Amino acid sequence: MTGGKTKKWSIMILIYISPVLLLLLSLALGRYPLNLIDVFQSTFFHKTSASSVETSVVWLIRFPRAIIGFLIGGSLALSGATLQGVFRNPLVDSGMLGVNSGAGFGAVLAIILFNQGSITTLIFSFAFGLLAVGMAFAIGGFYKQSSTIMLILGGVIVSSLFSALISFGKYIADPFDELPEIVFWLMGSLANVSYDELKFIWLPVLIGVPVILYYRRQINILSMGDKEATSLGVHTKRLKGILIISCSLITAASVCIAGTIGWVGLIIPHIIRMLIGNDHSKLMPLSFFLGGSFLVCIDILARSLTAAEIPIGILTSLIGAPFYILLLKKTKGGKW
Amino acid sequence: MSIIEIKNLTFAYETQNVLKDISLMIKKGTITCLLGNNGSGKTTLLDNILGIYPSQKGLIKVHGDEINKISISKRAKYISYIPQNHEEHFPYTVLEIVLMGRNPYLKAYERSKKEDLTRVDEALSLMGIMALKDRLYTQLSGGEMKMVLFARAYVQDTDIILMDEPTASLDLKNEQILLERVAYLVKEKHKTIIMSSHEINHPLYFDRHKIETQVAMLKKGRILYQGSVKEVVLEQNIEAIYDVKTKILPYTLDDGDEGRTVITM
Repeated sequence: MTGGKTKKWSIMILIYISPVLLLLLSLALGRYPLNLIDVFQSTFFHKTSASSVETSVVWLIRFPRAIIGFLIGGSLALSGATLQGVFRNPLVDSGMLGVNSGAGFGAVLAIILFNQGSITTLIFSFAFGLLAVGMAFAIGGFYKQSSTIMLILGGVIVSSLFSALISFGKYIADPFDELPEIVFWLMGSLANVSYDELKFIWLPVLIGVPVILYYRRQINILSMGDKEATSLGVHTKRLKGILIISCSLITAASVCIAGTIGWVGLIIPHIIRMLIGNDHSKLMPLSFFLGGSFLVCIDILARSLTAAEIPIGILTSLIGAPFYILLLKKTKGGKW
Repeated sequence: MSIIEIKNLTFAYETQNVLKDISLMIKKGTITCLLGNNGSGKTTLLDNILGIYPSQKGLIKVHGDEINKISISKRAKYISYIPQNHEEHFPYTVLEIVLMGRNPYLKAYERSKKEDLTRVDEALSLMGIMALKDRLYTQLSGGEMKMVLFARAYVQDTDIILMDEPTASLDLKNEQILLERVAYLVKEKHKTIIMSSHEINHPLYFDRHKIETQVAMLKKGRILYQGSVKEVVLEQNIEAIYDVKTKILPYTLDDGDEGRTVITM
């Protein structure tokens, strides 16, 4: 028993300090070789040990990219963990309410209509991501009884609708110019992010993440079902609303910057559930940190494995799936 | 003085009436047994007392306040609830499940405090399940699960505890333990308990243990008979409710205690 507890503590500490290590790694590693210590010295102590190119590679390209990667990975994992609790279903993830396909369609639309600047695409994609959730809600609201199931169904309907529209967009897009951009956008990438995107994502994340973490203990109770949760003093309808809106906000902000990144919202919470347990007060912050670290890690691989950058959405599944299987085999499902 | 007053309660799902003109007064420190067939409205009546449904005809007052006007968090300090079975949920540990009972006393963001953990320990040892503390709830037996939910209701520290068929699917031994705990909570802790049950002998059991017991017999959403065990648990009433012929036999135990038991023919 105590051995198990020590092990859990070490895992938790490791997860909480990993972002710092990975941040340093992602500043140091990449196709442009540089010495990070030199860069730090020239930035903080005004010694001219690094060239201005090296300094700007670190501070203008790699640093915002790592921070954005961390926030996006964390947001996707946190919103996956939350929605799993709200819907009492371990197979739910952040894209379930149609955010991903809605945001995808928004991006496709912007690329076809304007074929320019990433900020327009960003705004369109964010807006359509939220619109998709709104539609899922509206469809789910048609029936009063078991509205949770109806909301999932609403998400499925909206997702398939927007997926069809995405295909239609691909079909009519200019094959030499717009189509590749659409395809790459949908695969997900952090290749072009800068401080502009950071300016865009910090506000939704700064609102959504603390709100979700604020209620994390009550997610345990919420997952017992409406009747029991009400008898334990939880205002289920209100809490579900707050959580779903917060999740949609941070997921839409993530997807509109990095494209559709699968798996993070599903496997990261699962890994924590297997290693630490299902108590959402521990699960939620740990999911955020591990999700963030995971995506930073994947992004380092994405930009250093091959000469051309690999889309990050491909790598999350390629690396995530076998890793998950390995863990499943090792823990024998743990708490599952 | 009644801790719960129900006056002319009529309740309908969609258009179908499930409860019709129910009136019931419940005193503090007593047990009320709701008897009746499946679909007679026992669970719905419990749900109404719990305040799950917002609009209804009639009146339910708890501690003198109308149930729908009491906030959800305050209600959870008045009434706790032991469900018959759960919807599927995550495999939490026993500790995590019992700690949920402290929610009404914590702010949303607050984690459980030392006092909460002490209370959980107290409840677990009272229910005799201290050894289960770190086990997974989903891997327990039916009897153990019920004890865990009892412990949760106990740490919720409410005057009123509602139980939906607490002994359903329990074996004889666990049923015995459960009835003892119920009797203990009423006698020693002055809890008010409302339980639905399929077992006509339960009110007779509490009566023999000198606990003030009220019986309400429901059929098709109406209370047909209500009163003390001696007034209500009668052969002809049982036949009218269940459509089953029974015989009520008196017995005397070795220590001289007298009781009655219902047998089917």
